[in-house]
Amino acid sequence: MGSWRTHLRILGPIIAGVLLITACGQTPPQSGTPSAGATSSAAATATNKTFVYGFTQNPVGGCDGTQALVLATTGNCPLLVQESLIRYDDKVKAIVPALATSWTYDGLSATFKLRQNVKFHDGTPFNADAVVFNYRRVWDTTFDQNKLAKFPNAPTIPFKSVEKIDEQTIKVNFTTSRADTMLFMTTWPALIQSPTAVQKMPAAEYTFKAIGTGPYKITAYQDNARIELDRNEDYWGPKPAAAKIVLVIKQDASALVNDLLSGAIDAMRDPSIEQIDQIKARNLTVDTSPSLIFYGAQINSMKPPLDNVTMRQAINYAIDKDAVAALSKGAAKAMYGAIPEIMREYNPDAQSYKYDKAKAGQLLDSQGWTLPAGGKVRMKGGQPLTLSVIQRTGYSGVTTLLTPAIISNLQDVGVEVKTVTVEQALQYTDQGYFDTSKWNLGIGGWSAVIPDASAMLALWQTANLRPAGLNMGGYSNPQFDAKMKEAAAALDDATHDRALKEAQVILKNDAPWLWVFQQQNVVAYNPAKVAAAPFRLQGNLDLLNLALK
Amino acid sequence: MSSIPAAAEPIDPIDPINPIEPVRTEGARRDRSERRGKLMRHWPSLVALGVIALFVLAWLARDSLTEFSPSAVRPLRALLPVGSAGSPLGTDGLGRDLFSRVLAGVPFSLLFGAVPAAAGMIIGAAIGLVAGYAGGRTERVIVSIMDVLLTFPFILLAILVSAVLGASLQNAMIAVTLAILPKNARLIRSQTLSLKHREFIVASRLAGAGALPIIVRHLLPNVLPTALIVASTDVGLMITLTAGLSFIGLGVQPPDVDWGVLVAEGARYITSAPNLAFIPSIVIAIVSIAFVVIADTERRILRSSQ
Amino acid sequence: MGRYLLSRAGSSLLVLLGASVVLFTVIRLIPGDPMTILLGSVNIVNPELVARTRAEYNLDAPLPLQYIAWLGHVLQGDFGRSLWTGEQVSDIVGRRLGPSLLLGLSASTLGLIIGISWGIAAGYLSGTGRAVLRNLPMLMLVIPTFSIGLLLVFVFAVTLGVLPASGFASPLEGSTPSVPSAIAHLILPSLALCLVPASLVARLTYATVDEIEQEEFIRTARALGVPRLRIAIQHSLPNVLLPIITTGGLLISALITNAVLIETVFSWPGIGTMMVSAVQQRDYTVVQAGILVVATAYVLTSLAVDALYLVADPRVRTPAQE
Repeated sequence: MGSWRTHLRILGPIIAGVLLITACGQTPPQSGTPSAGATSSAAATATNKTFVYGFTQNPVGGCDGTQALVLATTGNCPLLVQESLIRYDDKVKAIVPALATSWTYDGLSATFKLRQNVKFHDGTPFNADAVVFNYRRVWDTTFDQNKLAKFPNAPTIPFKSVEKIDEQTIKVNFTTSRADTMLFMTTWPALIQSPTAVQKMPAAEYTFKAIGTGPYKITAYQDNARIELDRNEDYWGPKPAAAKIVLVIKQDASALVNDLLSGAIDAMRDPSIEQIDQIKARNLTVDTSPSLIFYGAQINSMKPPLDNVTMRQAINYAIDKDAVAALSKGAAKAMYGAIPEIMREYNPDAQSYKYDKAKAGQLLDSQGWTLPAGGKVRMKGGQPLTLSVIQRTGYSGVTTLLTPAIISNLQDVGVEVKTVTVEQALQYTDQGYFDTSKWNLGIGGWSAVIPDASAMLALWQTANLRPAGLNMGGYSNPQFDAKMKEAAAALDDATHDRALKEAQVILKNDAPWLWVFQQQNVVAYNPAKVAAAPFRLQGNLDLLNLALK
Repeated sequence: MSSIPAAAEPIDPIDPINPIEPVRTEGARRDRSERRGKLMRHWPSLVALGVIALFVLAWLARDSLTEFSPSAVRPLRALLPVGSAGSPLGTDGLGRDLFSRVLAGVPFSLLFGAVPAAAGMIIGAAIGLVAGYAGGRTERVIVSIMDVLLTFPFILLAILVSAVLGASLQNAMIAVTLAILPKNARLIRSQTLSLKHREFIVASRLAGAGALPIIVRHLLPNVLPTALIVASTDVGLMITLTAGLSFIGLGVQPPDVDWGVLVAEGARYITSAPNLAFIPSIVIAIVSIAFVVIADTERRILRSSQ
Repeated sequence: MGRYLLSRAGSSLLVLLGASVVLFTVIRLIPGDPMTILLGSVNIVNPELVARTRAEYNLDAPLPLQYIAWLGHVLQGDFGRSLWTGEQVSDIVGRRLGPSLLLGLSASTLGLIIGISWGIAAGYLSGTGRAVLRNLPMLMLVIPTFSIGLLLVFVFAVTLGVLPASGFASPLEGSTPSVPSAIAHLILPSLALCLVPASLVARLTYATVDEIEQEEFIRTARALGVPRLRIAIQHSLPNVLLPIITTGGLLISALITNAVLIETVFSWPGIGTMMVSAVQQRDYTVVQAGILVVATAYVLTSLAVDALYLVADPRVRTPAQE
């Protein structure tokens, strides 16, 4: 079954986790005004070619970014068709202008200067009224448009109100001052739709005909099958490479591989591990790039024997992460610290737990768990060292490696492992992971929607303990919380980053998580047609920076 | 399912797997058997019993037969071919030893076969006896419920049960039991119907015996041979069916091992390592066939003594 | 006869209705909220979103009302939206019905042809051939269907490379419709699927042949030198149709069960795999629609079987038999 469930599974918690940063008083990691000349990365040359791209996960909710339950792997359509006032550029790792040419942000409000002479695909003008309409539609519960649809990602922004200052200026007020607000303003709930088009038809219909200001327009939409987009020749910005994009959705990944091999599609993402070799053998390219997703296991710090920090460190040393990465054929990369390497706030000095079976054994010995002569399971006071691992059904792709690898590695250091499996539908319920009496290790992952390490590290805050959040393992360290708060209060990147780097060191020492791998985005494409198929950090293929031959 | 009377056919319409064989003259056969010796006549089932015993013994001795545990992931030993040192049947994509994993599946698969077959027959026979003997409204109600259960093809029943109770070993067994009990109930019911009017039953009833004693003392022993034969065949069927459930993901969950799970995992490597899918498949087939052969022999023994 | 069929149709409808009620209730009693899967864990912290989504899917109304609303929509052809992909369920089911029917029909046809020929051969051959053919059906029933499917894939697709290993190619729709491609993709799954029904049919056939052999007039015909094959075709064939029709229900049931396994092996986009994923995802709407479709198909075919039986067996046509 497809890998969509995996991604949904982690996106959910991340949105939840992020929502939980309530009164932390975070401020933006960067100032509100853009650096001069910070535009997009080198635009690819425009061609008249069609690019056909296949994936397995249907974009639930259609192409209206505000309505879509957007998942990293399928967020392409809204990002091609609509834009927000600002955009995050992966290359310069900063927010750059989009539909706004400049802005200021002071925590409780943001003022944007709008770009002039921009039109929606239906010819209607993009202006301050359009922005006010859009924001009220998503956030203003008194607005009639707000009741006509649901906006799943609206809570990510602490919206209070929007005002039109003049024809070129908009001011947005926020209820709380948060560091990541502007980052969230670059994404889904803030994507701008054509007010005329929205008002013409029911929301459920509109989402398949979404009209924005973006570089592509929808020409055909067959739900869960095929989406066709033509380049917007009147687009205000640099022209992307493909004149036409076709998105092909098929739940069966092997069917997509067959299509790729036969040339029916030009690129696909996340081929199954077993098929990567087959694809390479046919001289097709398989590229990987870092993502904001990682996997491993939550450690239940409330339940012995892993309530002891040395024990937690021991099991971290016991896992051979490079082996998992090797088995994944590039779809996974070993992870030795709390956040993926690609993030700006990554602390190389907070990395540890390289596979060391001997050291794991020593640490276990030091806690009194020793191997009896000729025995396979460590004992202490007549009791065997037993750990219970909980997992859910329905893993696919790289995540299928997790449980077997963890179990095997733990057995190799003398741990007796019991497995508990719960149905995917029950994972985050009291019959599942929430019953912490049932497990010591909970297989799972975490991810961030925005490239901000605060979001990545949010899970371990005391504020995220159950029942408010997903910190099921019960980890709580006031020093860690203080660092997170400091990062949130920081006005400049340097302080923000330093605090988070220190936070990573605390986590390294406390080992509340069993880190195994960082998931990579994998794309397979036909090198005869495609020169480069880069990924956005958030996980979708960057179709605006595609390079075709 | 249909209301067409079943008695008109020599073949039980619900169980063509175990057709009631037409009467044959037994004379010639008896001569032959006396010459060959009664036990050797049934050599296929001796072989079958031997095969099953072999699997059980191998499982009991698994620690000394295998070098690696079934869950030991060894990336450097991934996808080794059949006949490799330490892994005579090869290894899977994570380097786990196939021989070890096949042995690990023995208790699951045998349980999967025996328990549902027994439960399905015990419950099904009880229902069938009651329905057949009681007659009237009781019988009609029971028959309609059984019909509705028969309406649902087994797999959908299994899917629903797995959904309600969760996908697991025990629940797959429940699903499978539910699936075969209507067929068994019908079979036993039709046997009961034909027995009901025999003289000794009628005599007991006239003598004032209650329903339960009649059922237990007279009907039960008479349906027992059929029940036994069908249940034995069912063991083989159940092993295969539950392997099927595991294959599509509704039975045993990885990393637990059952032969169906092994085939499912092996199917992914069919191009590079076909042994991973076919060796567990052959094992399933061999063990199921063994039970069917045993059942067949039972039928010969029990039928020829009637 | 007309009245009989009408009453059978009526009771079938009741059965369907009853089944749909049971099914509706059972599905909603399943632990596990589809909202959890659909919305991820947003529901923990965004109760308003959960409430709105649940209201959208009418999940909070009392069960009987939900059922009536659902039934109303179903009768208009509206099966609601998938809780997983958001698509119209009627579209999903429609898309999967075609391949399922295609596979089912071709497997049934192949099954009948192979089964009857096999049974006749088993009935008339002697010696080892007879023994082999008579014992093979039992083997076919216990050898896992999915293994046979994989074997076919390995031999014909992987080793010989003459047929595709998986997938469905539409003969009519899609970007490049092609009948030869459709047939090529259909061969292996149909072959794998037809073996179980073929075995059941074979078994019925040779038992019928054995029965016929006992008849006086057959022995007379043989003594007179009529070729055995002619006897087989002229006499056994018509007589075997009756038991096949009678067990039609079981045959279809076996077909449906094995179809799910075969669909999995060959990535065949049919109703079976749709159901399995839908149940795992707690996609209520899809599961309901799927089971309704299958139950309807089953009831329709058994009605057809009953009708055929009435036509085929003159003994049963007298109303007194009811």
